Amino acid sequence: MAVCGFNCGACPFAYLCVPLAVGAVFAWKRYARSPLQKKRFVSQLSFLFITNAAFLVGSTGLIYTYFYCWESPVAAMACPIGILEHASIELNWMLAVYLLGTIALVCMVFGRAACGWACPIGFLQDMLGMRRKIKSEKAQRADQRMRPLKYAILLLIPPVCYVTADMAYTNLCPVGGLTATLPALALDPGGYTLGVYFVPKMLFLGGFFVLIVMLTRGWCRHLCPVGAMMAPFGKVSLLQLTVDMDKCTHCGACKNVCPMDINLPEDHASTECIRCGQCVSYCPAGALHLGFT
Amino acid sequence: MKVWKLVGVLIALVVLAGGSLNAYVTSQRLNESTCLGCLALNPRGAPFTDFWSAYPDSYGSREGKEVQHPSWVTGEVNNGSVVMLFFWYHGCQPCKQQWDDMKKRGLVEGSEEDGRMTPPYAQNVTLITIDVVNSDRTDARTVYAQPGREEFTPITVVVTGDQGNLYWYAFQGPADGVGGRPSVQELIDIIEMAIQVREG
Repeated sequence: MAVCGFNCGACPFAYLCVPLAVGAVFAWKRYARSPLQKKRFVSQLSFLFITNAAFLVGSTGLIYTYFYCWESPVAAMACPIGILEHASIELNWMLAVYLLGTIALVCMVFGRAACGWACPIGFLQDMLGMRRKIKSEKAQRADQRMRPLKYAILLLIPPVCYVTADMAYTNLCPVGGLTATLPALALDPGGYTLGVYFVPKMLFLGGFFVLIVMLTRGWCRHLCPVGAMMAPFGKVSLLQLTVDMDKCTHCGACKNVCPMDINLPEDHASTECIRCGQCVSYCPAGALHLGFT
Repeated sequence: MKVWKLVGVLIALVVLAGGSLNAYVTSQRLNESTCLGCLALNPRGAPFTDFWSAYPDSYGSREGKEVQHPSWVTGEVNNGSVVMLFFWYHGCQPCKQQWDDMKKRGLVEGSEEDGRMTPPYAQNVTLITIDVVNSDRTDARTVYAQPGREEFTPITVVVTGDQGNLYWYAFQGPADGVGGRPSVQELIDIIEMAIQVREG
């Protein structure tokens, strides 16, 4: 198959090519509505390329400030959760400081913007997300109660990895299943036997897809441990979402378009905000602003 | 007082930067080592039929070419020992699985860092465990891994010799008896055959 002129047989992401292209066409309708969202689309595409640039720059020691598997065939940087697991298993404090320093440095400036502007998994969710809003109050309460789950997962990773001396999260990670296991199998279908964690990993991957199709940014809201790592910086980062309450008509458009279902405009400094700027783009009164404070 | 505080902060920053540089190298080495546990996949191996003197056909473009064993391997073999190499790293689930299985079967003892052969084998076999993230012998895996799979860990290599000739066998992934990889019992048999070759 050679639709785009590239050699699909040698491309580890050939199996995602058509779904991504179809998703991009649908998503473009939303992105094209404002210059800010067009910029975000270009940013997400660029980071998808940068993330997979090992064929140009090799494997570096830099750490992604978003979620992506470093075992992906062309991953250029290191997975933050993988680094956290290794730091915990070996009690390597310098590795932990390096990770926290990298996350802190980026998030003090940009907050959780990497989720909205750079993360390939976020990009995938933006394209697959059917803009499913939670309507019933009961479901909304459940959604709010589930949010701390990602912090619990993050906090559990170091002790569990230390005690088991194993990469406990990675063994089951659905993002690894999507971006590393499936591409490896696609590149060399007969070259592997299935490991002990293959079936659970694929089950988690199935659950991951159900979640992100059923709920806009479902992974970011409830389960992403990298998002949990970055979230606390949202309150103090230089890049902030601000509201001019004099202009705000309380029409609810911002709350309606927010992929993270944040209670806007009141909770504009929420740790859940991924700085995607959709509320800014859709506000008819121009009351919201995304900028450096 | 303020100057001393600034100096203190500067020293802390230098230490942090130095540490980060060290951590960067560690991070890069981890990134370069494919974690088969992460993939939940294990590479197929070439089933053991006999020891190889050159690269076998499973090594693709290297087939038939002479193997450039590291000098620290040839040195041990020339001193009369069979050499078993075990490439591993912390957090590598298949490495841990294989090490634990080898311990249970009485082939090795201790931990991966300071592992050694058990008394029945220690006299004839030298075990060299190589932490691919921290060891300066990491590059040796490019000699023994299949082309394009240099980053896959664990790698187990058995090297023996006879009258100046070196023979070897290697596989990647855990010794679980699946996909052409030997089981630990088969690995023990291979090591015993290597000792017989060594003894002529």
